[in-house]
Amino acid sequence: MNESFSDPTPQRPPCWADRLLSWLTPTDLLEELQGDLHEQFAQQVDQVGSWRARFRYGLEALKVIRPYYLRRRVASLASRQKDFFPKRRATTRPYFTPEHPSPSLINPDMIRNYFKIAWRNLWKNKLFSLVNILSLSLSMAVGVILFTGLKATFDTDHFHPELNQLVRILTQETKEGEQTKWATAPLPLATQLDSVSFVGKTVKVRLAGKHNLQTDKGDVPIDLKFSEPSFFDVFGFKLLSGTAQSLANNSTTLFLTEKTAEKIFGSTNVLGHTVQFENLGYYIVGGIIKDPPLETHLPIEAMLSISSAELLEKKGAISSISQDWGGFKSSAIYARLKSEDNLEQLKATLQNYNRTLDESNLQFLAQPIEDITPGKIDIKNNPNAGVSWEDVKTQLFIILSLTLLAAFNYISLALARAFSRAQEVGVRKTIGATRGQVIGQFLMESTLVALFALLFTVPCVTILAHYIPDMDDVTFSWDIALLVCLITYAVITGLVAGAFPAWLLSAFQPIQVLRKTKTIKLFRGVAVYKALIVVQFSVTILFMILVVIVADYDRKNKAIIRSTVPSNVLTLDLKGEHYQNLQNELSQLSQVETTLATNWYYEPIKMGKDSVTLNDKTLAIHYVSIDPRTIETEGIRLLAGQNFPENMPQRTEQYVLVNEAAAKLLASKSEALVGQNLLLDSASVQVIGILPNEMIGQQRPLLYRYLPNEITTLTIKIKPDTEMEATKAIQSVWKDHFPQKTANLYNLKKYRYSGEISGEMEIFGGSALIVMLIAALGILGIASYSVETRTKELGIRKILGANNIKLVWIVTKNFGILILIAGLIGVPAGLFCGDLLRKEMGSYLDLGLINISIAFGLVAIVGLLTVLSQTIRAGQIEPVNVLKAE
Amino acid sequence: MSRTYLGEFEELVLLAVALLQQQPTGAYGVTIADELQQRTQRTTSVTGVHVVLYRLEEKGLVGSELGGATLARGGRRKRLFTLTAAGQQVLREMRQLRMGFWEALPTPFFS
Repeated sequence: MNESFSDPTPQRPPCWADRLLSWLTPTDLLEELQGDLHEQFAQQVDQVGSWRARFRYGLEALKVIRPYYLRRRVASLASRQKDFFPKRRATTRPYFTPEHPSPSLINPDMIRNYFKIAWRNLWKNKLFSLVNILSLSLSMAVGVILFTGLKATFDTDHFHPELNQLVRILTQETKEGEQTKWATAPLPLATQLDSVSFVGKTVKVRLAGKHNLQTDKGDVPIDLKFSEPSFFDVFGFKLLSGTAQSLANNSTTLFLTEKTAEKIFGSTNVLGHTVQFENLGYYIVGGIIKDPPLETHLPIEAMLSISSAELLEKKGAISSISQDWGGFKSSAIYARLKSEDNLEQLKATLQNYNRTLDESNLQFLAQPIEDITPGKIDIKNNPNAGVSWEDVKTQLFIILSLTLLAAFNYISLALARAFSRAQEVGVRKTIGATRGQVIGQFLMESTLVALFALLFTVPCVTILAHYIPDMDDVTFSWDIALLVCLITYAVITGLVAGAFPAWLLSAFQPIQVLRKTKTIKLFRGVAVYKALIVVQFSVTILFMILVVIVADYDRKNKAIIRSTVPSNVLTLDLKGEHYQNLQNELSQLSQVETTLATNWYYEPIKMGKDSVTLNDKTLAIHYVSIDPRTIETEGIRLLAGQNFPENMPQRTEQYVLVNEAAAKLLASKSEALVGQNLLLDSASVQVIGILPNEMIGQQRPLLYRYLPNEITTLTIKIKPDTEMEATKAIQSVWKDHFPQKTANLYNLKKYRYSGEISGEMEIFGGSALIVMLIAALGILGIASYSVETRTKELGIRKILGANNIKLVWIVTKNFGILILIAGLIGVPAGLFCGDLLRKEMGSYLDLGLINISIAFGLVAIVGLLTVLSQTIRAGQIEPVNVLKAE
Repeated sequence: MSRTYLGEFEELVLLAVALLQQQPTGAYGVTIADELQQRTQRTTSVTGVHVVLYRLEEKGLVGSELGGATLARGGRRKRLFTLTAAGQQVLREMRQLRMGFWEALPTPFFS
């Protein structure tokens, strides 16, 4: 049973302990210590038995875990300290002792040296350096833009004084067991908070949303907020003119921000002007608010006094919430604490104000202003909180992937040039450089390139920012943190780009690279650059395919709009008024051909959503309210069934039309749907006809209903070339009917369809451009290099009779093959993404052969032209020049 | 006044080295640890003794040489320590210091 009896070999100490020893003990000390321990173990086996000896041995091994050994072990791993005992006489002379020990990697002299050599190398290869710097700065530009965006996010609301004393009150609603957090709070709570001792000041802000300000040029929607004078004490908003107190004194006072004043009046010098808000009445401009220097979660366009809100509540113009705890969804409460330490106290105090309403339970929380942006998604009614932490992470991820993309270029160029650097590495190593030092050298070079790229990018981006419309709004301040961030970004980019080439190049054995550079295969790794080219070009092709299909879709859409939407149709916004009389009168006008009261004109103008039940299947489908005469007037052919009957009942809904997509969704055989009864919400209606799908815009299942109360628009078809007179006539009729409101009358085609390129187009186009530029720059460098290294071969070929075209073909051929391979990867990827996009947009995206070939052709042509711009030199080679110096 | 300060354990290890270097086994980790265990009845660990020996070597009180591999050690060499002149000097000073104290004590203190 017991092995020690039968086993004649001497007992061995536990091997785990031995392994532990060899890990933890400095290499120089291992031999003697382990020997001693083994000897002691052998003694103890005789004295106290094998089991105890093993136990003690293990204990001894564990005792190696003490600072004395560990410190030296770590040092020896880092090979910083070669010799522990400088005074000890070496028992065996090492084979080779350098006269001067190699200095450590991080050492000011070496760094200066790296820098110097890196600089000389970059200067020597100007083209490569330029290509590298340009391609890095391109992708870094996007990084810098994202970084400034992030900076703006983190700077949000930092202009308020004593920021850490400011809190916003949140409402946590518990309804049917579900908890929802709202960024808003009921107004009566503010009055209660005022009496709390450590609350300095409170501000009530009522968020009224957009209201139409009526001007000569039509309605301008302005975001209105109601507040009180303390707003300007608590927050960092400043008044350019007027006094805050006038908000309390005069309920007709209106404050505008600089931007809004410019938008409405074209000037900020407008104190005393009277403006009219639709449904609200007249207000006098009493002050101009200075535009905040940074972003804020509480953007102001116009501000009215909170007392005027109470007046308006009495008039019934806005919902009555001033005294209502339940109406917390459109008002916010802010408080300035006496000291930032009161936050916990406030949180505790807020517990006392919990309210129980009919259906829900309200609790109140305090949120420091600093925590609003970047914030959490789960807070509702928080529209201007901006970027959430999730978005911040996404942006960082995008920055990272762009960095990698740019790094690819650097890697492929560096690898392509590995041959010419090999000798340099060989010489350096022979002189005595360690691998670490060679790596340091290469990393320094790449970092330098990245820093140059940054130097080039930042001014470009700052200048460009003024021309990119969305960027103009991003307000941030330059400070040390941002600078450090950007420089770190550049350094990381440099290190990432340089790591792989440095690792590969530093592995060269001097003896190999110096013996016969030309003939030996240095490594298989050079093929990596080919893979990188393929990757870059496949991504480019992918994006290009998306760009082409979206552009194609846009083009077709425009053509359809041109042919279907007549240019002599005006739309009139009804602004919630009854339209029958107006419509009758308008129809009488001499310039008017037909008028339709409809929310659909070849595509939905305003949609609703309702649940539809057919044979136990319930779906939520969009619907539009339509004039029964629309189909007839516009001459639309139905796919099946018939149009609405002549005399539609006004009150109850009887019939409904569906479009093809909706029919498909509801019934397997769409024709069979005609005549069937649907349950719309709870009313039963009959499907009488099927319309073709919308030709313009997004295709979605749609029901066409006759709901006179939901009509919001009149479309007026006028006689050709009478637009001026018709507009005047219609406006005067409107004025007669609704003198309180201005008419919103537009030419349908100009108003809705003169827009620029679609958002997708912008995104894909931008990405495709950047990716293509980066890929082109990468292939440019490599093509140039491949010609350079092959000059001798090409010269000999020329002597032997190859003509110029053949020479150019020889060097270009390989790149052509690479681009073809990229096509083989990129095209299926593009098809896949295009299909996803088609599902997303739900519209015709033509993924046909023509579009794909256009996309691939474009990329291939750009790629090949780039290559040709370099390889064309192969044709101009003079054999005499390249071969004379062999 | 450039005396090297020694802890108690260091002093004992140094004395053990002085004692054992005369003997045929020599002074190295195991013998020193055994000697100390016998004389002080304290459990002494070999690793601990080694640390002290290295410290003493860094202070220049002991010198060392490798040698004497045996089968029980798995063929590993031992580091044999010897007292240096500085080590002897320190031990001598220590002894004098202590003797000075003892002589200064009145005789009936310890009979």
